[in-house]
Formats: sequence, C-alpha cells, structure tokens
Amino acid sequence: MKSNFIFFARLSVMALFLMIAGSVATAQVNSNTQTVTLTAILNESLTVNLSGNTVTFSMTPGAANNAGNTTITATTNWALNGGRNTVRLYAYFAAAATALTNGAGGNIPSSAFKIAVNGGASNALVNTVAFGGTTAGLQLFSQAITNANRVSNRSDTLGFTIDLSGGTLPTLAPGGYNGTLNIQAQATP
Amino acid sequence: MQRLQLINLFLTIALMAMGSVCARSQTLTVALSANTVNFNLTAGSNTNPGNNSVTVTTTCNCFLQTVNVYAYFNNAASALSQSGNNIPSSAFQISANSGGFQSLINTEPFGGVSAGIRISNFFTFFPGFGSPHSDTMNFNIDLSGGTLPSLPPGTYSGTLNIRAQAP
Repeated sequence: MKSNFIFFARLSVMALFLMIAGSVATAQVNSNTQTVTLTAILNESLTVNLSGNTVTFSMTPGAANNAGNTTITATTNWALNGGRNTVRLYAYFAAAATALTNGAGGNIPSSAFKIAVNGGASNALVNTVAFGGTTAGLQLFSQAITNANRVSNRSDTLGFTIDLSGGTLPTLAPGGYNGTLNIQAQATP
Repeated sequence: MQRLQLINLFLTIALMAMGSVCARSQTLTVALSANTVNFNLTAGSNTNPGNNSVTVTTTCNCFLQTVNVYAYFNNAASALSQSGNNIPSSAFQISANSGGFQSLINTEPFGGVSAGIRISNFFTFFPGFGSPHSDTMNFNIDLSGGTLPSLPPGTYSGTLNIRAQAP
C-alpha cells in the first residue's frame, strides 16, 4: 500500500513538472492590439493682464498735464488659429462724456484722458474702437500676426494724463472724480 | 495493486496531456471599456485630463505565466499631431489604477522607441485564478514643457495602442 502511494506521488510530481515545463517552455505570447482614439482640442486664446488696477491723479485746475501716479504694463498673450492676421489692443471708456465723474454732475470726458504707450506721445481717447462708447476709445497697438508669432505675447507700458485745459474743464468743480478705464484685445479676422 | 498502478498511469498521462494541450493553446487577449478619449487643452497647462478613463481587461488562458500590459504610440515625437505640429509621447501621461501619472517615455516590446509604458504586471496561475485582470487608466496631457506652451491651437489626433505580452 505504501509503495503504491510512493509510486503515485512520484508520477504525480513528474506529471506536474512536465505540465509546468510544457507551459514554461512555450514561446512568448502576444495579445491582440486594442486602440484608443485620442482627440485633443487646443482652443484659441487671447488674454490681457495688467500690472496694476489703480491709477490716482492729483489735478490742478486748468492744467494740461495731470499725470497719473503710476504707469501700468499691459501684457497681451495670444494663441491664434491660422487665418488671424492682426491683434489689436484697445483702451476705452463706456461713455465718452463721463469718463470720470464726481457723482454730482461734474464730468471729465474721455477726450481729456490721454494715454502714452511705451513712452510715446499721449493720445486722447476720442476714437470709436471695437469696444466701449462712441468716440470713447484709443487703439494702443496693432500687431501683425504670421505663423512665426501665432503663439506669442507682448508687453506695453501705459502712462496716463488728464488734460484740464480745454473747453469748460478749467472750471471743473473741485472734488474726487472716479472712472473705469477698460483694456481689451481683439484678434481679427 | 496492478489496477491501482494502471489508474495512476492513466491519471499521469491525462495530466501530461492536459499540460501539453494547455501549453499549446495559450491565448492572451486585451479588451477596452472605451476606444475614445477627448481632451480640452489649455495652452501651457500641465493639467489637461482626458474626459473619461479606460479599463483594460486582460485575459490569459495560460498556466503559471507572468503577463505584462503595455500602452504605446508608434512614434515618440508625434503621439498626437495636427498640420505638422506634434504633441510627443513624453507629454502624454497615464495613471494606472489611480497611481501617479507616468509619461510614455520607455522603450517597450511594442511601439516606437521611447514611446511606451508598462501599465501593469500580473501572474496567472491558471485560467480563472489571476486572470482576467483589469487595469483602469486615466489620461493627462502636459503642455508645460519645452516648446509645448507655444503649441498652435487646433485639433490634435493620435492613436494609443494597448497590448499585452506573456514573455
């Protein structure tokens, strides 16, 4: 009986060994190939960031050159599709007549508000641009776009002045005048 | 006693035959829960996740086998492309089973040089024990490195391959 058990055990071990050996000795097996279709959409982008959001003016009645206390750098970033050929940056007020107001009927019009871009000449916001009120804006730059700069950026330093020398502005009532200047870019076509 | 020996002999032959048959009929298959993944990319961002995960189910009809599952592209430089602009495989990342995201930068048995990654590695004792095996993959595209922040806008397409091997 004992010899039968030993015989059976030997045969079983041998069989197991052969089974494993048969399996291990087999050549490598490769599976089928499955695929995942990937679609990634990178949208166009055009953004403007400002180095500061507040400018304060100490004005002198009738003075032509009331400078803001600080400059602001506008950084424009873009990633544009083929076909776009121009990026423009604009500054504008919502209404030309009331660029800054004291809330009591006293107004400083956009025509008295001037911006100098990158140390250039100061220009009043008297144009009708893509955004804002009629005759309440100014184009700050126009950048040609080619494949070489389809994804790029630029920074422009803006200096501000309020001119109180024209029209009825020399008699502007004293007080605090507040307003909001908007900076916005557009890519065309 | 002689009868018992005959039974033993029969069992042995049966086991050997089974082992031989199994060894010759090993099959290895992979199946995916989905075959499409979409991404909404943000220029320069390192986090652009795929819109869904994909589960790989690997079935090995085999005995005592290690199985490796791979993901790979055919070309490392152009994993996804659009009009001559490319997203390389090094910017394509997979998180297997909620692990960390890994870029496809290894040279594996399949696919292009430096264009793959091993998703998982498991051991199958016999069919039904160790296999089928499932791995869930999540995807991300990292656009923060090299020149990728200035990648032109557009629709980038590519094909990710999934394949297993029992070496």
